[in-house]
Amino acid sequence: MKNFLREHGLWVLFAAAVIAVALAVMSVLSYTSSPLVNAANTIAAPFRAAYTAVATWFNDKQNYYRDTTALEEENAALRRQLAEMEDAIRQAETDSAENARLRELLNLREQRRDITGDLEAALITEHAVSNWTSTLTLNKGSQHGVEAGDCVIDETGAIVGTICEVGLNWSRVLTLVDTDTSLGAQVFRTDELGLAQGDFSLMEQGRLRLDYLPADCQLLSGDLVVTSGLGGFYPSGLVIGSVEEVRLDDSGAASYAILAPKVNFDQLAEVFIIKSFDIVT
Amino acid sequence: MLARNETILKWVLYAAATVLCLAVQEMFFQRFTLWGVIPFVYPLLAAIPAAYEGPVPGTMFALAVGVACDLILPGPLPCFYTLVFPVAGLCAALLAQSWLPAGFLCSLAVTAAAFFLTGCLTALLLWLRGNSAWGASAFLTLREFCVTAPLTVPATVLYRAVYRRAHRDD
Repeated sequence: MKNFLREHGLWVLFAAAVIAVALAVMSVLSYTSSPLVNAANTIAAPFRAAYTAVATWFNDKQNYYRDTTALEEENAALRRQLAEMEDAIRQAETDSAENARLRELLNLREQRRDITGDLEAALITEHAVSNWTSTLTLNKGSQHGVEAGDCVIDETGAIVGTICEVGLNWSRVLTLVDTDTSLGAQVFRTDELGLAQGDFSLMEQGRLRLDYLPADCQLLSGDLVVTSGLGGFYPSGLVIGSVEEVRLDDSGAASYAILAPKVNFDQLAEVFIIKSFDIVT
Repeated sequence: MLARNETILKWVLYAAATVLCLAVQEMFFQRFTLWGVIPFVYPLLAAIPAAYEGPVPGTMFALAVGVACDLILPGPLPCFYTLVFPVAGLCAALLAQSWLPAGFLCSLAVTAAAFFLTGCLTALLLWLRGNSAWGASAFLTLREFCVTAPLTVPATVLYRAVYRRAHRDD
């Protein structure tokens, strides 16, 4: 190598100088890059593209992961927020329904001075337990001052039934349509008196009878029937239901009416027990 | 002849099976109606064990079921089930002894008899109170039986398992 440089070094230097000058002249005269630069970059271009593609792919993946993580967190937060809002809406609906019931009850209290003060709100924990009776089980019992024979009404003041059994923290209500229920009743329009009582044949249809009406009674379909309050067992004026049909009994000497209770027993959730009332004469 | 401990264990197992059925009735069957009636397993619980155990023990067990039912169910009389279930148990035991050996078919028959007795006594009590409803009572009894009849299969399986467990050395 040393010998080569010693012998031809001058020529090599000269050739390099010539090439350098030639390249400089070509780059000055040419509008594009010099051939060597061009050649080098042409060869490097695919590699550069490949490198850039790989780098871009890694960047994309990194961004994707970062975005996904952020979106997942945001999604979880939104779900939490949605659940909280749904919970709030449910609570608001419950509060609204309770509010409406209490407003009606307040209205009832204002209308019915005889039953003010001693109403016990109770939730229905169980509907009918047997096919032969129509009963409701409540979550209030003797520890809340409930007694057998107490009258049970809904928030509109319509009678639901009477308490037949009482335990410490539960009580059972015989509904209006049960065969053991019997209430003094009065037709609101005509003031005719009768006895509203459950009938086994009608119980399943959710109906009851109004018995001991005169044969020539002038009841109309839709006439309102309320408790008479006679005997002082139950408050007077509680809505029992409306007349659906009037029939003549087997003897032909008296009529009876089929009553549709105002209360829909299947949809009841909360009732009010009248623990005491003033007898209105 | 079972030893005393085995006898106690047998009746404890029968009682446990009955409590399980009562819980299922309270939790599930009471919440829906089919053909206008709720499935009513109580007569099964008096009749099917009696069919397996014979007249005297079966009647006594049915009496206990009747007392339990009167404690938890409203009835036309305070002791309605205490009166009717021992009769249903005795009928079931006699039927199983004389005509049909205890099994699925026998369970169906004794269940029908138990529902018939329960329906008859209820209708009789309604009639005595001046609320005659023989037709409605018969139709209700029929529907109760039809809706509850499929439940005799799991009840029979359960009580037969108890019976076999208790009498495996016989």
